[in-house]
Amino acid sequence: MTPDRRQFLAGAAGLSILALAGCASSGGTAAGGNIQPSAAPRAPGGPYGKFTGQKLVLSRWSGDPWTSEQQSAAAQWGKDTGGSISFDAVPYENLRDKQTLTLSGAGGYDILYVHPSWFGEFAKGGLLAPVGGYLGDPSRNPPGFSAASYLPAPLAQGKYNGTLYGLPDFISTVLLAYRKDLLQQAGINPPVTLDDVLAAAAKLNGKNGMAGLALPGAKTGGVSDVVSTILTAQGNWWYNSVPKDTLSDPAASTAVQFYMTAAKYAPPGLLSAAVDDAATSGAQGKAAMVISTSPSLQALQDPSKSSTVGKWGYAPLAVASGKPSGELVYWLWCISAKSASKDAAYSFLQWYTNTQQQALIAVQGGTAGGTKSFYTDRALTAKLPFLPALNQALTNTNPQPNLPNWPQAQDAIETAVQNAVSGKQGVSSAVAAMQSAVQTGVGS
Amino acid sequence: MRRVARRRPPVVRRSRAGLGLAMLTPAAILLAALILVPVCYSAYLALYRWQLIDINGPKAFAGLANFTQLFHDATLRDAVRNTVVYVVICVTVELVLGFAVAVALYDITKGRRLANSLILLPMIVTPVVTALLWRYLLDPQFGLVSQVLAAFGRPGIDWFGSTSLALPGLMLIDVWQWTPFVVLVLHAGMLAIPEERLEAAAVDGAGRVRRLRHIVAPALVPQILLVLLFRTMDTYRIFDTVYVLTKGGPGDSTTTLGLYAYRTGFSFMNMGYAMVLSLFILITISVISVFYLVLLRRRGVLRK
Repeated sequence: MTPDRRQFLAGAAGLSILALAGCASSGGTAAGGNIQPSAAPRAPGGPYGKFTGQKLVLSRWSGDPWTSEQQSAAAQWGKDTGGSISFDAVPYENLRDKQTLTLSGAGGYDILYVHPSWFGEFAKGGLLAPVGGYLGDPSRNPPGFSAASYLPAPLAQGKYNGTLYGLPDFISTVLLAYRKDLLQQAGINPPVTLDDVLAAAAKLNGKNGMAGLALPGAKTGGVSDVVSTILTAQGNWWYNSVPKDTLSDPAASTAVQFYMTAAKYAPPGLLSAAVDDAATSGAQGKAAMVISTSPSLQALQDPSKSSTVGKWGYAPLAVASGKPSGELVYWLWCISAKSASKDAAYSFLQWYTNTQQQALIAVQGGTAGGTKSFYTDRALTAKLPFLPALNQALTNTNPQPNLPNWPQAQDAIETAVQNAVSGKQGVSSAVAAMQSAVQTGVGS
Repeated sequence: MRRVARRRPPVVRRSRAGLGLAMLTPAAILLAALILVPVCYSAYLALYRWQLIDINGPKAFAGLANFTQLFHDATLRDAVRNTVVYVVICVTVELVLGFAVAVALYDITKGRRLANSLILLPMIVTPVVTALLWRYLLDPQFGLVSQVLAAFGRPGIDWFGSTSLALPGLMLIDVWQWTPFVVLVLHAGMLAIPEERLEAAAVDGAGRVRRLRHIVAPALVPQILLVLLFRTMDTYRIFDTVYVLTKGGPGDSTTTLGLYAYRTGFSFMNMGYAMVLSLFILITISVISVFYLVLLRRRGVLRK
């Protein structure tokens, strides 16, 4: 054998071994290109792994600034790792059925943005891949990064039957925003309890053609978020861990009664107003106070949408002398069980949910990250005026319900509140309808 | 010269019938595959309790439970009532208004083409865009209508947030968008009426109203029946504008059959019952359509 031929054979054998090693380390993922899941980031803070030539598909709802910001992040991830991520963004209303049909069929998605209301169904159906093993592997995460890096409550929502299937972000809750200038002029202290909110709304309503309080009233989930927050503030909630329905008469009555009274001080169109419409009323100077979800309240601070920038104060909701409370609103980043690129998918998930990436979107989107260090970043928190109120609210929360039957229950709950507000039902009959809806939701 | 009708020999007739049957068969098979098979499969799936996630997996047999649910479903009762009210009022208003506009168009001599084009504009816009357009027009705070009312010191009207105004608001949009269709069909029908008949009636002293009543209206019966058939079917299946503007609310005051079936299937993921609701819609709309088709046959518009 000539030296040239020997060198050629040795080289070929070496390449074969490298290729096999590459296949093994990528956990059987699609071969081709340079696949090294544990490769260190190209630059500090960058994503882990090399996934040259891997093409991933990400499914999420379409909504800016989140979609465009994630597309930028995906492009950066691709530049650093050699892979690529394409987006399939559909309206929120269609996301669940699109994901369900795709995953129940041939697959097609690698990364999924999953709402709590259908997370349990997906995990139970075996459509999601566990991510706990990846999160516990030091070679795929920055030094010191682990499950302990996330806020415990949101991370716990990513578990099903003790197995972790999702990493949280998009942390938000229901908050009160109030016009500091108007309250000061009227000699009113910033509201602390719901009674304070209603009293201030009554006093400010109609002044300068402004409504006292804007809040969501349409059947789009916002009503349920507000009611859920009021229940939590009273130490009550829809169901317990069994799950068994636990909605109490007095707590539900307080929530319905609050809506009925607030409706008197709301801008026209309460029952067709979604969270964004409520925030727009405040931003356009048509309401002195707004109760809505924190991402929608970001419109108040956006000069392109708001004529009232800088005039707003924020507070969590509380009932009587109770604790400030909120509903834990979040989304989960998951990996499809059928994905052939799970290593690459995890690389993106870890990188995208870390504090550095979340900070990029937080100011624009009005959401907060799921990691602990997000909340200790002083430069970041200074740019998010609602963050102290959010932090206070998150000390006493219940997560958005994640039972498979909950969408139907939520629809019936919001219908009951609407019927009470429009006078078609009394408080007690609305509460009875809500209790019956919760029973449907928990499947009892 | 008198033409003598020649009867074709039976063999020729039989072979022509066979040819017709042969030409019809592929289309019939295609239609059966596209319509009958899905309908039968839906009926089969309606016997199971399943969610969308179970589409390729095992499903729990529920027998007729999904069908019996129809009889004690309060939301379905609301949906049927809303749909019937929507159909009756929209179709009636569109027909009356469409007839009036068609007559006006028939009467004008100058600018008829331009008027025709302008009248047809709403029909060209897709329903979702129409819904969004009206949403911005009627918004009680920021809408154009509210701004005009505010200029006169009047408060904005809460069309889609009021249980009593939301359904009329949706009807208003339907009438705006689909009256042009009625105008188009009736106007075409009017143009087909021989002018001599109208002139003769005028010479005999018949006034405008009598000519409309005794010549134009009877001549337009086939077109009116066609319009009724199409508009009844369309309004019965109304979904897009309701979905965009109210999602069935406030309460269930604008929940229609189509929206309820969609919500049951794709929001609540209760696919078994959604199949039953779809079959319910299909059967009821078929009965209504057959009724109109019988009328059309009696009038000789369709061949027996």
